[in-house]
Formats: sequence, structure tokens, C-alpha cells
Amino acid sequence: MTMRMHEVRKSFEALRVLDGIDADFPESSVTAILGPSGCGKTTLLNIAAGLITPDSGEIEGFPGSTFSYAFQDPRLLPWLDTKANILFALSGLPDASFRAERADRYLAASGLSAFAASKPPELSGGMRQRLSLARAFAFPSRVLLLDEAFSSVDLKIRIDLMDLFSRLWDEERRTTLMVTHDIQEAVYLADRVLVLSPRPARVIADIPLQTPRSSRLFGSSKEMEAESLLYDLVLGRSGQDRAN
Amino acid sequence: MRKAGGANPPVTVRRPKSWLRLAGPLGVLSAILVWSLAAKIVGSDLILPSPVKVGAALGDLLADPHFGSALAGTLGRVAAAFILSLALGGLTGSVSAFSPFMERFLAPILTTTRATPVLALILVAMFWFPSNAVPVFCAILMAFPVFHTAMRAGMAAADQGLLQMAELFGVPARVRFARLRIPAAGPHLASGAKNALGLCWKVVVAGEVLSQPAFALGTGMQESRLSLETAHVFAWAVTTVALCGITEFLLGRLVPRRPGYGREETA
Repeated sequence: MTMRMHEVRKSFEALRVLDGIDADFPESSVTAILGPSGCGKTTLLNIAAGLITPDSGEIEGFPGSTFSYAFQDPRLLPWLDTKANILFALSGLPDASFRAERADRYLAASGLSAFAASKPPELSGGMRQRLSLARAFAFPSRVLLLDEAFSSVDLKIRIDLMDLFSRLWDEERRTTLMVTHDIQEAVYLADRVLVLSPRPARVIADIPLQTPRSSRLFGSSKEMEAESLLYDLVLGRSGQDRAN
Repeated sequence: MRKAGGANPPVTVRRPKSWLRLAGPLGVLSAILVWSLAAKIVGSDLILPSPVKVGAALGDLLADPHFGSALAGTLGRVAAAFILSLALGGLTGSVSAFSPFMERFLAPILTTTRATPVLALILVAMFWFPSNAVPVFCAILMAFPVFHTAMRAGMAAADQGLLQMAELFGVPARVRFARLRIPAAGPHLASGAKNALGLCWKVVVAGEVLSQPAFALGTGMQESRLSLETAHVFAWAVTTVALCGITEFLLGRLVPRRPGYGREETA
């Protein structure tokens, strides 16, 4: 079932943030939400998760769903070890053996098994972010929400994290909303990209990406073409401007 | 434990220079020296006995077969008062953190408790309770507001981002409380516990002095005072201070610093 937002508006007192968002989020696909900083991307994600109520508009498919989240800041409990951090997120699930199996599986999949007993302050920034991703995937949600989950690390680690995401995502193909301001990230990971205007945000473009995720390469001509188009949209310039 | 490559840079802990470590013992020696000089000037063991006389009185106490029972009695009362005030203050502090009604409801009670003179409380409690229980009751009333405030502040100190994460993943409230709220309150509770322990010692011994239970340091102190054995009064007081110091040290060892609230230290 496709999840949908129709004419969703949100203001914080006098500040208009979302100005009639219309978007579909097809099941088992990755939708990147791209836009300039402060345009309301995270507000949109929080509305999808039910953390914020919109002022008006219709939302279909999201209410009643289960969500897992990966944040820009990994939000790990510093006094719990790596495995216990994942188990903490799973503690609402009834079956203890299922929880342990999920935790072990996603720790292994993210290359953190050797650090199961380590605590977050003992891990590097990239490893903490991997743990945050592993936790989000370990939680058996219907929808996965990523809020700038790859942006707090350097390029090399970011690429590793994106590869990890692709691998984990292919196993369960969960409906994913991914907020980012990084065009490369959107082109590399998403099935389609929604481009938001500056605040108050509206959807100004809905770009499907045809190349299978596993065939995408940084710097390849097809990806560069999509990136150029997105740069034009985000920066509000025409193809002619770019040529000049 | 295996460390991850590229982890946080180690935090260097500055160790005090060796001569700085002597500052504490030098302070104690100076105080004893001033005390000796003052005792010499006063020239009366009844008013101010010398440290040597107090040391001898302490030897007498240690050799007394009843000293162990007095020690155990007072330790038991301090432990009971500490644990019960922790339970009570922990409960009211955590409830107040989530209930503005309870916070306002308890505010006048806490203010009254904080402002009540300890001696007045002990004298009133002597009408209500047997002598054994008076010091414990008074120490609980004095120490529980400390735990209440520490727990209240600790609950409010929990990281909002972590709380939001827990809510999103549907972590049950009891797990959130045990694994997120309580550890976040740890440093506040540790600091409150140290203050409350010192308070428990002071109030329990003061209560014993007045209520005179059978086995108590305070009772020994009062009996020595009545028989004008000033050196023994000092020896009881020294014993109380030493025990308070030892229990505070042990408490400090029992309550570890939580990683994430102050980075892990490497030498």
C-alpha cells in the first residue's frame, strides 16, 4: 500500500514550514527528501512518524505503522554496550529469543560483532553511525526513517555507511523515507527523489531514478546526469545557466 | 577490551604533583599542632584535652567490650536511615519529575522539613518513638529531601534525543525508566548520596545523644559528658568522624561514574 501525503501544511506560530506537501511514498522503495537546510525536511519526517501533527492535510498509510529511525546524531545510550543498545530499542517486542537473534544478526551484518561488548564512547564516529543503522534495521518496523543519517561523518565513512545501508535494505526492502541535503547521497541510494523548495516547503520535483541501486557508482555518467538535474532544481538555476 | 580504530582521542588526566599529595596530611598535622598548642595554653583537660589524651581515651574505647555493640548500633541506624531516605526521596523525586501536581503538593512539606531545626525534631520525635527509632526517623526526615532533589534533577537531566529515540522504537516505560532515566540520574544521585550520608551521620548521632538508645556512639558520648570525661567525648567524636569518612569513601567506590557522563579516562 502506497503511503501518501496530501496538502499537508504545518506552521510553528508565525513560521510557515510546510505549504501543501503532496507526495506518494510507494511501498518497498526508498524515497529521498532533498532540500536546502531549514526547509522543513525533518518536520516532514516527524509528521510521517506521528511525532508532529500537521495543521491540515491528509495522511494515508503512515498512521498505525511501526517506524524505526536513524538520526544524524546516533542517539546511543553511552552506558550500554553495543548489543545492549540494539536490545534496548527492541525491548518492546515480546519474544526474547527473537530480539537476541535480530540483535546478533544486525551486529554481524554491520561488522560490529567483535565490538558487541564495547560501549559507544569506545567506538569511532563511523562505528557509532553503523550501530545506529544496525539498530534501525534490527527493529522490525514497516517504515524506516533516516534523518541525515550519513551526514556527520567524512566521505570515506559515508560511502561505507551507504554501502551498508544498501546491503541491509536489500534483505527486507522496507519502505524508507530518507531526509538529506546531500545530492550524491540521494542519487546513490534512493528510488526516487522529492525536491522541496526553500521554506515554506512545497514539492517542486519528483525525480525517479531508474538505475538499479546495486549498479550505481559514484562519478558514473548516469549518476552525474541525475546529480546535475538535482543541483539545478535545488539551486533554482536552468540548464542554460549551468552551460554558461 | 578491544578498542576501535579511530575512536575518541584519550583524555589525559592530570595527576597531582607529589608535593600536592602532601597537602592533606600537612593540613591534618597543622590542625593537631594548633590543637596541642591550644590545649597547652588552656591547661585544663576538662575544657580542652590534648590530642595525646584523646588518643589514650580512644584506646580505652577500643578496648571496651561494649564499644563494638555501640558501633554496630549506630552503623545500623545510619544504614537504615540512608536506605529508607533513598527509597522515599527516590520515589517522591521521580514522581515529582513527571507530575507537576505532586511537585507542588510536596513543596511545602519539603520546605518545612528543610527549615525545621534538627534538635526540635529530635525532641518531638522522642514523644512518638522508642529511643532506638528516634535517630532513624529524624535522619530520614533530614536526608530524604536531599535524595528527592537529586532524583528530581536527575530525571530532568535525561537526554531528550535519547528519550525521543526510545519513544519512536516503542520502548516500554519501565525499560525507559530503568535503562535510560535512572542511569542519567546517576551522577545527580551519587552527589546527593554523599551529602545525605554525611547528614545521616550527623543527625543519627545527635538523635542518639538525646534519646539514649542502648547501643550507640551518641549514648557513649553523652555518658562521657555526664561523667565529665571530656577526652572520651572527643574520642567518641573522632570515632564518628572517622566512620563517616570511611563510609563516604566506600560509597564513592560503590557508585561508579557512568561512561557518557564524563568521557572515560585513560591515564
